Amino acid sequence: MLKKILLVDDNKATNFIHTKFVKETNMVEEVVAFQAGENALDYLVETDVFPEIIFVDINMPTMDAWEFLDRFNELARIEKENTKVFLLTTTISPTDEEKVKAYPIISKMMFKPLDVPTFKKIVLPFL
Amino acid sequence: MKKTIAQPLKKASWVHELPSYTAILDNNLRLIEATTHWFKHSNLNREKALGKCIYDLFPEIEQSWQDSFEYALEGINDIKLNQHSETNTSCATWHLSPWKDGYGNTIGLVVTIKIDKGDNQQNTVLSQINNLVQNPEDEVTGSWEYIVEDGSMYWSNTFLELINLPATTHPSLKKAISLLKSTADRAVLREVIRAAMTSGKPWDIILGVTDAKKNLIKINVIGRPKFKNGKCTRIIGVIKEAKLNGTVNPEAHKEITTTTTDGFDYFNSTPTGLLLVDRRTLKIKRINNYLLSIFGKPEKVFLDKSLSEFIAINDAIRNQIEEELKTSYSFKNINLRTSHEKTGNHLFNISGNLVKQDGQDFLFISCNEVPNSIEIEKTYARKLQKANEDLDNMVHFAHMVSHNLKGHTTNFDLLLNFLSTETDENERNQLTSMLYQSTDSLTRTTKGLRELVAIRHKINHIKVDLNVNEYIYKVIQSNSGLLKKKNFKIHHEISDELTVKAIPAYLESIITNLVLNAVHFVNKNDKPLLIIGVEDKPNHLVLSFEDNSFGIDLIKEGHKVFGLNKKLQNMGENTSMGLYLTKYQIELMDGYVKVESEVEKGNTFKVYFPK
Repeated sequence: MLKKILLVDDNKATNFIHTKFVKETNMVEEVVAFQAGENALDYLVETDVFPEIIFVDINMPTMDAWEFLDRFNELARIEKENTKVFLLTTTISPTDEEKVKAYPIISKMMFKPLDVPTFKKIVLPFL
Repeated sequence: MKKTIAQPLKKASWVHELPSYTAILDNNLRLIEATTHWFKHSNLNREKALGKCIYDLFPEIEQSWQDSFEYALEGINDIKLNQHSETNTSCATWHLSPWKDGYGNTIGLVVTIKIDKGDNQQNTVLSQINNLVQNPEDEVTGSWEYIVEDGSMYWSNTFLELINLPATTHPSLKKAISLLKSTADRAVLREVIRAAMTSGKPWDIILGVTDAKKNLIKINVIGRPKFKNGKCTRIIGVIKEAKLNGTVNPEAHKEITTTTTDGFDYFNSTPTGLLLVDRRTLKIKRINNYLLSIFGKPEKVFLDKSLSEFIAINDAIRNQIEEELKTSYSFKNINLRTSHEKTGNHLFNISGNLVKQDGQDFLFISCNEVPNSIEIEKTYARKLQKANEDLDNMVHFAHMVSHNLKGHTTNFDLLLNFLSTETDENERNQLTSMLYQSTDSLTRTTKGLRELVAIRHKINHIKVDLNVNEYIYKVIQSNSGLLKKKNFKIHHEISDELTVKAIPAYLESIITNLVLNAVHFVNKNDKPLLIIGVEDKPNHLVLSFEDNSFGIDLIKEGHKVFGLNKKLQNMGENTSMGLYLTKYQIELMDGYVKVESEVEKGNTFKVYFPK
C-alpha cells in the first residue's frame, strides 16, 4: 500500500472529489490536500512521511505549479528523489507542454478531474 | 534591317523653316485658311475651298494618308507625305503638324507643302538616303491599326519590314503578341491595349520583338485609341525601332523634351517631385515646386548644383542607372536617401527618362518620397508585438474559460452524484456546502468573463475628453459602503478642469479597479489611504494611484501583478483580476500601466493615457 499522496489544487471541490476517489482505490494509506502551494511546501518541510506521489493543479492563483515545483526542487528532503509529480489541468496549453520538458520530476500532465480507475493505474507501479 | 525606303521622315526643325505653302485645317479637317502659294500650288479657288474637308479637296488622298492625318490630329508632329504628280515632274512633300491652342489642346492641323522640282527632287531623295546612312539614328516608322469590332488588324509594309516579316504575313493581334519575346512584354502590351480601350489612355512603350530571323529587336510601339459614341472602335499606332546603343534618337528626344517644355505648368504643379538633371554632370537644371515644398528651400539652393550633393548616389547606383539608360532610355524604382543639411533626411524612390534638348542629354527624374523605412519597421514591429499580445490574451482567455468553466461543471456533476448516493448526514452536509462554494466560485468566474466580453464590445467606442474628477467622484460614490467599512480614505488634488482622452466605460473601470485593488490589499495600519495624483508628460497624461499598503515584492511577484486571476501576497482573498482588466483596458486605448512598489511602504500604479 502506498503511504501518502499529496493533492495541491486551489479548487476545494476538486480536492474533495480527488480525496474521495483516492480513498476508494484502497491503495493509499493517507491523502493530504492543500489549496495553496505555499502551505503544501510548508507541510513537505515538516512531514515525517514524505508523499510518493503529488498531484498539482497547474493554474493556481497564488503559486502556480511551476513555482511550486521550483520551490519543491529546493527542498532539503532526500525523500523527494523518490517522489513523482503529476500535473493536473482542464486544458493543456502549448506553453505548459513546453515547460514540462524542463522538469524531469513530472511524470505526466493529465486532465482533471481524475477518476478511480485512473488513480489505480497511477498508483499501481509504486506498490 | 532595311532602311533604304524613303518613309515619312521626321525632321526636328520644320517650325523654324516655315514654308510659304501653308494651310490650316480644323479638327474635322476642314480648310480654315491657307496662303496664296498653297492655293496656287493646289490649284484651288480660295472662296470655294474654304470650309471644305481636305479629302473633298483632294479626292486622290489614299487611306495611308488619311491615317497620317489622324496621327497628326492625335498630336504627332511633322508627319511628311510625299506627293507625286503624274502631270509634271514636280514632287511635293506635305508636312502635317497639330495646331494647338494656348492650353496645348489640338484644335486642328497645320499643313505645309514643300515643292521639289526635277533634279531637286532626285537630290532630295538622295539626300534623304544619305541622311539615313550618315545618321543611323534617323528612324523608319511603320503604321498599324486594330479594328475592335471584328478584331482585324492592318500592318503597313514598313511595319512588316521593320520586323523582317514577309509581305504575306496575315496581321492579327494574336500574331503581334506572339512576336514579343518575353511574357512580361506580352502582358504589358495586353495591359496597354486594355487600358486604351477602357479608359482611352494612349501608350508609348518599348518592347522586345523576335523577328523572322530570331533576332531580338527593341521596338517603340505607340498606340492611340479612337472612340465613337463612347465606345472604342479602333486603335491606331506606329512602330519604330528603338535605339539601344546608349545614344538616343534625337527625334524621339525631341518629342519627350517638347512634352516637358509644353508641360512646364504640369512640371511645377504635379503632385510628385520632378527634377531635370544634366546626364553628364548630374547638375540640377530644374526642380519642381512639389520637391521644393518637401525640402522647404528655394529653387536657387538646388539649381546648377550636382544631384550628388543632396542625394547619396554612389558609383554602383550611377552604373546601374547608366546600364538601364542604355537598354531602355530610362531607369526605374531606385531608392535613394537625401542626407544634406538643406534637404534633411528623406528617402526617395526615383525613376527617370533620358531626354535630349539642344543636343544635350538630360535625365527627367520623378522622385516619390518613401516613408522612413526604419519608422515603418518600428510600426510593423509594434503592430506585430501588439498582435502577438492580443493573440496571447485570446489564448489565455480561451484557457481561462475552458479551465474555469470545465472545472466547475465537472465538479458539479461529481458532487451531485456523491450527494445522490450519500446517506450519511454529515457527508451530505459537507457535499452541500461544497456545492455552494462551487456556485460562488462559478459566479465569480462568469462575472470576470462577462467583464472581459464587455470590454471587447466597447473596443470600437471613440475616445473622448473626460473629466477625471467626475469619474473619481462617481467611483467613490459607488463604493462608499465598502470604503466606509474599511475606514478607507481617498485623497486627490486633481483640478476640476482636468480631462483625459479615454473611452468612458474603460476610464470608470480602471479607476474602480485601482481603487478596489488598494482597498483589498492588506494594510499595515488602520488608516488605509489612497492618493490619486496626476502628472503631465509630453505624450501622456499619467494618473497615479498611491496606497500605503504592505506593497508587493516585485522581485518575487512582479510577473503576477497584472496576471489573470493571480493571487499576490498581501492581497487577502482577492485576485489580480482587477489589475489584469486595468492593463487590458488601458492597452486597448494605446496606453500602458506600470507599478512601483516597496514592501511595507505601499504600491503606486501609474496609468499612462496617450494625449
